Amino acid sequence: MNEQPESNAPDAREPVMRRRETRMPDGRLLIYFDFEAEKAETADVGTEMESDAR
Amino acid sequence: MSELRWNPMLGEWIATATHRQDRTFLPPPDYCPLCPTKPGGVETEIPEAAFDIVVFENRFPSLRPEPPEPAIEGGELYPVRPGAGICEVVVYTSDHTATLAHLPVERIHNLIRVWTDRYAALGAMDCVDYVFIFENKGEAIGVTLHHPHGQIYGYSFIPPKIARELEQSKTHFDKTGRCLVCDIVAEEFRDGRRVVAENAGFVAFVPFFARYPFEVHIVARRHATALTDFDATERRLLAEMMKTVLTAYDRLFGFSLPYIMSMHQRPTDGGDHGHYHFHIEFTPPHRTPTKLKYLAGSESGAGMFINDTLPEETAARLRELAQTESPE
Repeated sequence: MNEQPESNAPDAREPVMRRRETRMPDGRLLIYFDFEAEKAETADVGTEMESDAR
Repeated sequence: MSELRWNPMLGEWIATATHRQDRTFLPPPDYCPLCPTKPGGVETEIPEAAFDIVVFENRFPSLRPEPPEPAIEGGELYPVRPGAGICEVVVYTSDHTATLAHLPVERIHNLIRVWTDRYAALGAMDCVDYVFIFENKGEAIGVTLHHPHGQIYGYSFIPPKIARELEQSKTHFDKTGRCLVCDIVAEEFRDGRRVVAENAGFVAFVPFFARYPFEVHIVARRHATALTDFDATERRLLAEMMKTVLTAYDRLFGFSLPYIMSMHQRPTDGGDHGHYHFHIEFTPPHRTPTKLKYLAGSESGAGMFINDTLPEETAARLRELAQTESPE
């Protein structure tokens, strides 16, 4: 593949993403995604998703 | 009834989904099924009032993880198979009147993370070979619900347009050893006339070969094949680029511009698609404030598009609008 210059942009901080899975009465999947206002310590912590199946 | 019927003339699948004829069509705001359910109000698809972004399986899906048997028997000439796959709806916000263009960059960034989650989750399903993330915006496109939302289709096959792009990318790679879209990005930077906006991670341009007057592609500057390739910084840069392009769109004619957004990523069929390149295509139907680009005889009948404008000129207009002021 072509060589591309690496991004030199500052590392973005992302809020923690929480996902809450539930089911509708007819059985369809429903997922709430909530993002905490407080910033995470590292940029990739948002990939550590929490599942709160109900 | 839902099934896949093979078109031997074009070598592509067609989905029948007759139950979709009864889906909700342009309801008044008080009956919007994508708004959170209000106390004492009509029950909607979203029971909770407080949420950032919601994803749920479409009530009227064209494809299902456990599809019914086809209603008609196939044969050698006309293969038929169940409409396997999945259709999800992504609600961007609880605000019924918002648009993606008006959402803060932070929320678009969050939305990109949700899309990334769904790309990975649906792509891991046995019945899904391709995850297609898209948005239809505006009545000119044919939307049936105005609440800001997009959709995700998980196909059990690679859809025809993507298959053709994959083929062209592979041919170019085998011939040159380079990624086709990486070369397109390099050419757009070299020429410069069609570039609308750029940042450290992404570039937006009206393609040399634009089919629509104000078609814009947002392309990753480095070689990346899917959302899951991006880190936090790149997700933020993508959100900023989307905000810039959508803001320019809304400034173009002084109203919220309808468009189709199509996200092109590598298939999830387990094949080697390293030669493919992530990009997002925006195709607004308007060619003037009052005139639409219709897919008429040449486009619909022959598949040959005629663009009434020059990409270099439409890009210049969008570039000026994108640079007018910060979108935030």
